[in-house]
Amino acid sequence: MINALKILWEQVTNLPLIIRMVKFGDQNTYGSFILGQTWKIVNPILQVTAYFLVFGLGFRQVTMPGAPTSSPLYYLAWMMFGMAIWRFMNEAIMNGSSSIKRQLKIVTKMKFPMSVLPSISIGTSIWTLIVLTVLGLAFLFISGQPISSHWPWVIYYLIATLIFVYSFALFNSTILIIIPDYISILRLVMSMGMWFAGVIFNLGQMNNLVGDILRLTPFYYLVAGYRDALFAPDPVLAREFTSTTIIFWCSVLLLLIVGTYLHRSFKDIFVEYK
Amino acid sequence: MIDDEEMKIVTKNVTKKFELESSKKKHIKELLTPFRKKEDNSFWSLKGVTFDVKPGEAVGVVGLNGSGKSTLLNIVSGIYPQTTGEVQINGDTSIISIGAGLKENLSGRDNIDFKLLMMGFTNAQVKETMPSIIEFSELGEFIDQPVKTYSSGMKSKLGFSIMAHTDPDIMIIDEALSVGDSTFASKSFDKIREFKKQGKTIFFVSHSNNQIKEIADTVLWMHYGELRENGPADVVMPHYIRWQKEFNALPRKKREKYMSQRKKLQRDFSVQDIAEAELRETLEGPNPDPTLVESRKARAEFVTKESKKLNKRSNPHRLGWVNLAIIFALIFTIGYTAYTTVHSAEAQRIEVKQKKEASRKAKIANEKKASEKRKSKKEKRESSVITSEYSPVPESQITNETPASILQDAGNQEDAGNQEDAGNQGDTGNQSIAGNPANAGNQANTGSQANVGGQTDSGNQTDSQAPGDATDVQGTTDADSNGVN
Repeated sequence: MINALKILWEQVTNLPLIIRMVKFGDQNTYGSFILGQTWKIVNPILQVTAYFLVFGLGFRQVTMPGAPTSSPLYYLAWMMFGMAIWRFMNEAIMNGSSSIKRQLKIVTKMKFPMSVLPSISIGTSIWTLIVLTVLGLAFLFISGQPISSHWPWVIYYLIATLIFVYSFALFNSTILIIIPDYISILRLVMSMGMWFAGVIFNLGQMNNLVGDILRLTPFYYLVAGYRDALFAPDPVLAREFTSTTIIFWCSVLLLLIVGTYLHRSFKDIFVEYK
Repeated sequence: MIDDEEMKIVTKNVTKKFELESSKKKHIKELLTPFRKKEDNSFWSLKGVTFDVKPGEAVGVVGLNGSGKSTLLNIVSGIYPQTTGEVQINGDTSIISIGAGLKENLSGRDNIDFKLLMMGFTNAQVKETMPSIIEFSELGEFIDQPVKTYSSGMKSKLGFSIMAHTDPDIMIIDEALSVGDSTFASKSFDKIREFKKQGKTIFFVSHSNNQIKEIADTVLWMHYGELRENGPADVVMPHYIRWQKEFNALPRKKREKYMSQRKKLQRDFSVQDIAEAELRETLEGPNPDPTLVESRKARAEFVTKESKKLNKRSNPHRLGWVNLAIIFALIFTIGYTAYTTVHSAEAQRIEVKQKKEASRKAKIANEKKASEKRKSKKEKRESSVITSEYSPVPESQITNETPASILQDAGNQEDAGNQEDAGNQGDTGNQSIAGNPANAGNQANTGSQANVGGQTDSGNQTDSQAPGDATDVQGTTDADSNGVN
């Protein structure tokens, strides 16, 4: 428990190092491209274009009853906020989970806080979040709707997302080194997660047992919360807020404690797995 | 605790245990059982090493392959911790070995950048030191080529150049100097001497006796996990060289037998041996505990107690009771909250359904009452009118629509109902006879509920006329909006 908090604190104290490493990584990936750093912005947009076309224009009416405007941009804004937080989580978790495995050779040969590696991956993915959120806000304003009245909550949800993503990535990163097969399970979970987290379909309207259960998952909590804070207040989330919050933070703690335990007990023998 | 500020490195009885895993599966299983009793599968790479290093000293570590040299260096540099014993290091350490910590796909320049950043340099500092590193490494144009194209000599040159410019207090070199050519080696030695003058400590492993002789002040001779000799280079090195010659002169079978014997000793080593060593030390110390000196029993007790303590320390990362309790508590909380939430949601749904049902029945009952009234009035006036079929809900108006349209519908339906009533004003026998007996009981049961539902919102009422599942979703959204309002 104490070690878990220590590892979180390590991220805070190493923040300058993380920022520098993120910058270095960005320069490295985009350095050889002609468009250079512009790809940081273009990449996430390209990734969501397909969803744009199919769900934004095709299935709009299915998911947005009682919309104040008939503008298709209104649904797109709704989808964009979900996409922003989801793609960010997806990228950060996938990269963060394999970060230690990828750098093992280097890290075991020098003194470097290994627990910082997932944070660096998270930092690299943050561009997706920013770009798609800005896009979503733009759509929202063009369609003539105001930002949600809950907007200060965005800070809470961002912090929650960061801690959740970090805990999950740390937890995965150790397992991934010991059990290489785990990556396919993780991939499966993350690709199904998009549908289960209600990024495209509004789970708030699912009034049955499946909907109830899906609405309790941490992924949905973050996606819905982000929308609640930026898009429009969500009565369904508000009704279940207490229980989902309890479940969310309990799972974060669980992941963090188990993840820290695994990380610490394997740190010394990571050398043998390289 | 050791508290010796003058020394750069102080170690005392350092041991390192590695687990030789029988299989990965077993290891995972062992790791996940919190109170494991594992079989002894350990290999002691270091069996109690004690030495000090003064500032400005160059320490050469010699020994056969697998005698624990690299383990010792890794422990000193803090890459992994010792199993037992104490290590105290005053200053930053920096380790290099052949091509260590170089990213194969990056160019030499990017590697310099990357390594320096990882060591906590700021971008400005990196920019500052970059030219001198490139110059020292003698790589010239190759600096912009990916490292995977480098020869091992070039890699070690690059590695040494980076490390030499990070300005560590303690420099640890793991066989990296054996690879470079003699020009570069002599250049490196100049650099090392420069460091020595600055009061820095150099700690290096080499298989080249000449290199050791050239720069080492003191030599640690590691021999199968033990420190065989520790002293000035000109004393230890002749011993080592003589032993090497004798050992190499032995026939191969004998050599192999000796080596496997030694390895077995390393496997059989246990924490009890450490405890016994500790006991010996306390007895030889300045003022040993009198009970320990006198009774054998007290000594045996001391050993068992100490080895228990050491055993605990040698398996440090356990999921303790507290954490386990917290984890179970968390799982329980998650499960309980999930269960209650789902359960209450289910209950709410059932309630809404019942309400709907009730209000539907109430509506039917109301209409029936009304029609009965009218009927009785009419019966007074006229007595014979042809009957027609009565349909309670106009079906075209049931299906999916927005709440606004539902409200409108409510009006329409009322109208429609009235009109129909008007049209059917003569309704007689058929309806009352067929309807009344069936609905009589329901009417009584749900009367009170029905009135509440009916009076509070007309939307719900109208909506509820729809049969079952088709408008389930809308029903609840209505309920939601009511709740919020």
